[in-house]
This record gives sequence, C-alpha cells and structure tokens, in this order.
Amino acid sequence: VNAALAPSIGARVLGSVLLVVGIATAPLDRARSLIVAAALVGLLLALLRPDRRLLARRAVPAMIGLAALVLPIALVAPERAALIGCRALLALIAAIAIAGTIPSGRFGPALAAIGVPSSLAAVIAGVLRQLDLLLAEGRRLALARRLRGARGTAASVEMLAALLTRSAARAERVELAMRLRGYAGLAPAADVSLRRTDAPVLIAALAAALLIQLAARG
Amino acid sequence: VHLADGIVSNPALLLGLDLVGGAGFVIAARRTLGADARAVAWIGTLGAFALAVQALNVPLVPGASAHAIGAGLLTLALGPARAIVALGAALIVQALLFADGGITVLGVNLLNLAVLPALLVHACRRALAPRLGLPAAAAIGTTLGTVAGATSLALTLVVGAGAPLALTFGWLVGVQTLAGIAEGALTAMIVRRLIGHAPALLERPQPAAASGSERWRGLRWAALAIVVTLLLIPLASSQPDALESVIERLQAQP
Repeated sequence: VNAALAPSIGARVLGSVLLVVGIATAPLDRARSLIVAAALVGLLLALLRPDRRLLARRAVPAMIGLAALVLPIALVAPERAALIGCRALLALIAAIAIAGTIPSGRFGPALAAIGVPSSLAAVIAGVLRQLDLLLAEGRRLALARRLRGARGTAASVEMLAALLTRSAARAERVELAMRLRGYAGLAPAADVSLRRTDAPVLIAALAAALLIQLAARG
Repeated sequence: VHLADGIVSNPALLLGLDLVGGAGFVIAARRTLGADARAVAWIGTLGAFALAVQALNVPLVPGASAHAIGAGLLTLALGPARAIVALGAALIVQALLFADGGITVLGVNLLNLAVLPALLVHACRRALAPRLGLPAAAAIGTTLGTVAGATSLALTLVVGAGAPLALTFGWLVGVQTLAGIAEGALTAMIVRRLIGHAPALLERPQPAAASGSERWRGLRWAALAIVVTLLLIPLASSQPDALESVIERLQAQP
C-alpha cells in the first residue's frame, strides 16, 4: 500500500525542481524567508530521513565549491555572503535529500514521463547505464598501471586515453545492440509516469515555494 | 567550477543566462538527436566517460579539472554539437540526481561548462590544427574554453551576486587561467597518445546536416532569449540590486 501511495519518480523530479527554485530565489532582504525555508527543509529531512553518509558525501564537496564562489563576496560584504551561503546551503540540502530518493536506473524514463524529449531522455539513461561500467573499467586500468609501476601525470594520461578508446568501443557495441532491438526512442515506463496520487506532493512543493516567497513580502 | 543554487540574486539575469545556455543546448540537441541509434549511443556513452573521468579522481597536476579535459576530448571525438549534448546530459544528471551544480542555474552551467568550451575547442581545431597540429590546437582550445567559462562565471557573480569586480576576476579567472593551461597541456598529451593508438577516434566528425529552416530556428531561439531578457529588465525589483547595495555600502564607508 505504501509503495502505491509513494510519489512517482517523475513527481519527485518535478517536486525537487519546484522546491529548489523556491529556496534559491528567496529574497535576501528579509530574514523571514530564509527562516521559513530552513523550517521547510527541516520538515523535508524529517519526512525523507536521507542516509546521513550520503548527505555528507555529497554536501561536503559541494560546500567547498560554494565557499570558493562566496569568498570574494565575503571579503567586502560578510553579512550578505552569510545570507547567500545560508540560502545556497538550504537549496543544496533539499536537492540532495530528494535526489537520494530517485533510483538512477529510473531517472531517464522519469524524464521522458514529465515531457523531456525521448531521445534526450534516452541519452541521459545511457549516461547513467554506462557510468558504473566505465567507472569500474577506469579503476581496473588505474590499478593495472599502478601494479606495473606507472606513476604521476604520464600514467594518468595513458589511463585517460585508454578509457576514452574503450568508451568508444563500448559506444559501438551499444549502437549495434540498439539497432538489433529496433530502437525508436525511450518510452516512459508506467511506474515513473505522473499519476493522480502525485497531486498532493506537487501541490505541497508548489505551496512551499510560494510560502518562502510570500514570507519576505508579508 | 559549477555554479550552485541560491548564489545569484538577480532573477532577470539568471533567467536570461539560463535561456542563453539552454538555447545553446537545445539547438545542439535538435541538430544531433532524432530517432538515430548511433547518435544516442555515442553521446550517452561518451557523456558517461566525461562523468567517470571526474569521479575517478585521476591524479592530475594541482588545480586541473577533469571537466575541461572531458570537454576538449569530447569535442574532438564527437564534434561540437554532439559534445555539447553529451556534456549537457552529464550536467543534467549531476544537477538533478547528484545535487552537484544548481537546478536554477543549469542553463548558466551549460553555457560555462559545455557550450563555450566546446565551441572554442572546435574553433581552435578549425583555425589552428592545419598549421600547429591537433595537439597544440586542442591545448589552446581547452585553455581558452576554461578561461571563457571562468570569465562568464565571474561576470555572473559580479552582476548577479554583488561580488567585487577586481577580486572576483583575480580569484576566479586568475586561478582558472593557470588551471586551464595545465588542462590544455594534459589534453594535448592525451591527444598525442590517441593519434598514435586510435587515430580514427580523432578524425574530424561529419557535422550534423542542418537545413536552412533549422539554422533560422536556432537564430529565433537566440533572439527570443535576448528579447525575454530585455522585457524582464523593467520588471526587476525597484530595491537596489546586489551590486548596487555593495557600491552603496562602499560609498558610505569613510
């Protein structure tokens, strides 16, 4: 029963976009909108209970990048930089929490289900399908070169060139397999398509985004 | 460097840049994608290569990013339009599934990390490869692509987030120029190796045939992006924007 009531993958993607747009465009001149955004992100974390290790693994490198971008602002306007940093951090946490509920294998069909052209959705599905295989291939190549005593930039160059040629060989095989199967675009699967039970989730995401915006104006 | 959500405070600028980057991606996708299995297979697999290279933490020289090296190699192997789609697909996956790079700034990241680098690598290949050779052209193109992306990002931060001009350009463009030189050198070394071992991979790809109407459609997208940005400017807040508030603050200081 719970699985049937859970929002579809397409609704999760749309909900993530709505909520993150609401947080990321929150006006900075009133702290109230950030307080409302923080409360909503807290509620989201309480509802979704994302894996803490996943949250940390994705948030820490993103926060380092964030700090590099906010640094020049912090040197001339520290208060403004702090507000920007808070807003960006809230948007980041919301995006990570929702992204953690989306299985990567269903992401491509979910995009097709919410209106992304099927050829682009097929490319994105292909990226995700090949990613783990190429990562494993890359790790094997790196290990093989390390065991042979190769070190430094020259070894990396050799490894990247080998990985690119193997990716190209894989692309040829994928193309052949697609032709043999009679490829005609990626069809949206039933389990990722939007359905009536998604309405409360989408309305809640839209309401949350509007609430953040209205909090600054009220 | 990916731009994250929530940093840019000027909605008109954000929407305008998103439209420009998005238009570049849409034009490239319309030219390359169809019901053709070959384009989907190659773009999807080499898009995965671009993501894998970043995830592998390959030891490079300090400051170099695998993103730029991926953009250079993909443009040489696939041509600019397919490379833009492959890099764009990787950026979409990163933004929506890995929360790396913002959702509201996806168009900006497409412009800085896919459209500008791919077009510059391709332009350098066409202009410089016959005289200097492909490795040198790839090195110059990758370096210029990195610098162009960093310049665009720095301008976005200055106008849209109130970042100080000199400091932001010195920090972002300065550091990225050094990184871009390193990335260009590494790309040239990889290209040199590929010329010896897999030269067919670097043969100039056949450009996707664009009909006259497709070219006009592309121009219409670009014109639409500019018109929408211009229409939105009068609707911007009457409150001082980020840049103005910083200028006011600096002027108020004795």
